[in-house]
Amino acid sequence: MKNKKELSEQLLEAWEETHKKGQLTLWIFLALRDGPKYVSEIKAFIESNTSQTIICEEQSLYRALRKFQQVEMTGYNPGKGDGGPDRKYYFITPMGEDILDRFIERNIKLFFIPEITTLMNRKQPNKPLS
Amino acid sequence: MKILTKQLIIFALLIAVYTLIFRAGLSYCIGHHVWILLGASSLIYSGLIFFTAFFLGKSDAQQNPFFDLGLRFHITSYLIWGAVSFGWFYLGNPHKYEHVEDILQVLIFWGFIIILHTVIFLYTRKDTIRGIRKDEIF
Repeated sequence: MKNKKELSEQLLEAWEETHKKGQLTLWIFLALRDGPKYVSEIKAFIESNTSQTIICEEQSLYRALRKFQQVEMTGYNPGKGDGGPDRKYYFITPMGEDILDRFIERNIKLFFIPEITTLMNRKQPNKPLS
Repeated sequence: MKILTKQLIIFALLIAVYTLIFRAGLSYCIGHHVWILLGASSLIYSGLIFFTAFFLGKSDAQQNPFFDLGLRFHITSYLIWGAVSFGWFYLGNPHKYEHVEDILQVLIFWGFIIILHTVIFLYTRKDTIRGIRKDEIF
């Protein structure tokens, strides 16, 4: 049987895995709110701003962006590549901005309520896991 | 929404080729009474269609996120099968024991299945936004 420390690590990783999947959309929209970007730039923005905790494949980003474009939350303009073929510079549409604002208001700002911030910062007394 | 995707076009072409070879083989087998070969070719034909639809459908779903419950591939199979079968019957070299009524019967029966598939698609489509399943957008 696994000891508590191993179990704790596995559970944390499983939770993070699920959490990250849901986070990718938010990070894509934050990257595009920062300004139009092509896929490699979106990837770099996400990885650098999450301190590499969210690593995403370019294919996943393309797939997500295609869906967001289909529902009119993002669009793209063709732009010059670095000596190579033209790139797609993705941007967030006004409707995408509005949905992002409302999503943040309803789901993210909760974490900044003082009671919740206090709870998140509260550490349990240090009991070593066997 | 792009209905005529690259994968669907490749699928249509492959189904046309498979069906033409199958119909030619069918006429040959009937004419030469090689029933085992006829059975085997039917199995190979259905297996090829299944795997072609499986892999191209999967690739299509990855590149084109809209939801159609496989209806485009199904209708394409129906139309191509009908066109090639009639084409073989009237322009090809069918055996005298092959009848156009057989093709019509298959198309009528299959048509009912297409209608049922369409009804299920229309029913499940209410869980989509702009043709993408709600739980797959984000």
